[in-house]
Amino acid sequence: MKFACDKESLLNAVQIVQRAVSLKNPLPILGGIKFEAEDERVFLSATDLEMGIRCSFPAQVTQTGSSILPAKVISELIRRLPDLPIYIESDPLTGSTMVKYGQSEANINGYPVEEFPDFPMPESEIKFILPGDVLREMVRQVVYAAATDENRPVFTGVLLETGNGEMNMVATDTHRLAWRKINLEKYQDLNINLIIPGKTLNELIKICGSAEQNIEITVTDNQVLFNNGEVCLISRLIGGQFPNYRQVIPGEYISRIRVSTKELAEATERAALLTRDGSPIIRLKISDNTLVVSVNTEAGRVREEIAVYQEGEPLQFAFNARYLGDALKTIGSEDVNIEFTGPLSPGILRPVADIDYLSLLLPVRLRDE
Amino acid sequence: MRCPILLADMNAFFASVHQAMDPVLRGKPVIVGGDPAKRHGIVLAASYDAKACGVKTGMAVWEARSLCPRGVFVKPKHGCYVNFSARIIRIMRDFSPLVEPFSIDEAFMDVSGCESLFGTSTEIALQLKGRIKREVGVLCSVGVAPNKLLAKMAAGMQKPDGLTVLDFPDLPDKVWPLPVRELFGVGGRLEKRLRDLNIHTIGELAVYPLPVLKKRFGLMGHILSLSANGIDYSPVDPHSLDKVKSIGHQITLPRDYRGYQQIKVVVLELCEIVCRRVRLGGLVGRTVNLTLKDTEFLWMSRSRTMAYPSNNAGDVYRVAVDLLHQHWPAWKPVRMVGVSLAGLVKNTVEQVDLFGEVEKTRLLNAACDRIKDRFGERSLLRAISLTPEGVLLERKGEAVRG
Repeated sequence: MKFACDKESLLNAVQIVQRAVSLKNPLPILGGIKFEAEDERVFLSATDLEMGIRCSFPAQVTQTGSSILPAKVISELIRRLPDLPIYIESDPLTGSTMVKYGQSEANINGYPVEEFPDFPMPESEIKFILPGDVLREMVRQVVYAAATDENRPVFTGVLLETGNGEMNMVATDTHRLAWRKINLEKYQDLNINLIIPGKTLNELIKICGSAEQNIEITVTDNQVLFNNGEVCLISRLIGGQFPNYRQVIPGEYISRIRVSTKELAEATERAALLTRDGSPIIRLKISDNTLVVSVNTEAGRVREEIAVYQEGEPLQFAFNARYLGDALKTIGSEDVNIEFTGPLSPGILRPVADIDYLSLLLPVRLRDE
Repeated sequence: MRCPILLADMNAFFASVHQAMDPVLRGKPVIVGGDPAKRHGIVLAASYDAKACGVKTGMAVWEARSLCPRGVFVKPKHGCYVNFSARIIRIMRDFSPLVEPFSIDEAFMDVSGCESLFGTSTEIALQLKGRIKREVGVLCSVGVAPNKLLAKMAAGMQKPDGLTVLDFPDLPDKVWPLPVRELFGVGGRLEKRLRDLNIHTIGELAVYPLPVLKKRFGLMGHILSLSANGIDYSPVDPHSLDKVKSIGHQITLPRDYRGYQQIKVVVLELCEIVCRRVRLGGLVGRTVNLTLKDTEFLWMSRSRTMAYPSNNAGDVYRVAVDLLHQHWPAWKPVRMVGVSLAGLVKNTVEQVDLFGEVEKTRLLNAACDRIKDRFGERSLLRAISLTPEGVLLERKGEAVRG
């Protein structure tokens, strides 16, 4: 393998695929990045066997071939290189790769190429295309609600379902739930239902972004592929049945407030400072167009008053401040509507004037000490 | 008052309690031990007459029997010890409200400001010893010192029936020549690490350069250095026992268990016991600890913190089994199993969940608790306790205490 390229595109590609490198895996070669030089393009790939990223950039390839280099060393090295043309040449006999920049060079010892796990691109008839910014925003608004502990794998994923020209994304860790709907008019007949690991989607957010870039999504029985032309992200799917989320979203409310997202978020953060680490519980009380956020612990007291627009009965309840903060961060509108059905029933946060997104939050039950 | 802190340490407490209850036993070598048939054959306490024959706490009962054939062997009566201990604490509270029970047979007391009522701290110590002897019938050693650390060390210097005053000027003569392991807070492992630094006595530790100790042991190094110099800032806290830090239970198995399938049965039974007690205290805990001992008495203890606090046996069991699979090889036989739940806090907050599962478990646990409250701990068992590996059904009155 022998090619020349500029530092910028090489560094960019390395940093993208590095997200799939797993340094903690017992299989050492998974700590490596595979470099493949083909006709005028260089492909980089990495995988932790759950998820794989493949990325390419144009380069002057003078000799095709491949090599696998330790991700940590190569990424740190490239990051520190001067802004000069870079020549990379690997010696298949020694497994060593030379990086040349200006008058200097570094030789990095790699892993045997044949030991790197196969990286087959999933192929399937089931495909659809979404604008990058739409997909990114959708994922961002939902993925935070997925569970991180592996007790029940289904909840560590995000449900993606399509049908009747719509696409829904839902995530829940049983204490909160986030749901987003978009129109998918072009794909009236597309009917899929898959659970994608939250971890993968967190990486997807970082890769896709711009509005001009379309992302092609390919679905097989056990894998999903996101492709924006330059970067491919492949992930396994989570097996199992996602619970019926529609059933647990209340249709009516007894009380509703409209409040400034920023004001509530800031009050929540301040109040949470005085709570115990493990359970940051804050109390909320609505009456007379006022929302009172309060905390009273051994560490001290906070009481904040926010003017709100109130509809329905006065109410009080308690929330986990972290969950409320997460939900407010993703709401994406200046004001937020919050609907309540009772002190122990879910509270529903909706952006004002957007009926296709909601974030649902379960309260906590307080017992007197 | 220079030395306001007292530590009263009951001498051969369990054995003394039996002697106090049964005058026939007085002056005889009394040995309190478990039942060897149930593999509980360990000496829990021995009276001074028995100790004179070489019997030591922690020794196997058969060994004690060969050393002391005249010994009177009695089975432990835990209820009585707790009762005696409470009586002693009550006597101490007559002198000062600042009494901190430290273990079942030791308690700290701060008598600052009591001199006009009862005299100097030494006089108080004498009165205390007299009253415990007359009213409870057991002997104790009392340490009198400026702080808890020195009081604890002082109490250990004269046994039985001792009274030792230990003030800072006494340090060089009385404390510094002692081996480091005698310093409060230094155990076997730490002793070995200190020996690597050529520290053998408390005096050597006291003059050892502080930066080196800090670098080696961190914050612990600083505390060690202060301790060796007799400095201890901890107050006598009368509420130290009110806050339970962890609740656990362990069982020595009637025979060695092999394989996860067998061990898991006992783990689940223990989780039930532990969570029931956690619920009785109105608590929830986050950190699950699993302790296993093999046939060579080598033990393994691992813990993991859950994402949310719980007092539900199912949640604790899931983590305990995970720990078992991760840290214990399947082939290794097990002699003793212990489960505990730590990081306990008052159960004042309960996160409601979307699918009503938390509520369901809460109601189920509450129903089970009500049945057990009314009909006894054994009135309701998991079906798995009926399998041959179950220990709760056979060992009546042993597994669940209080």
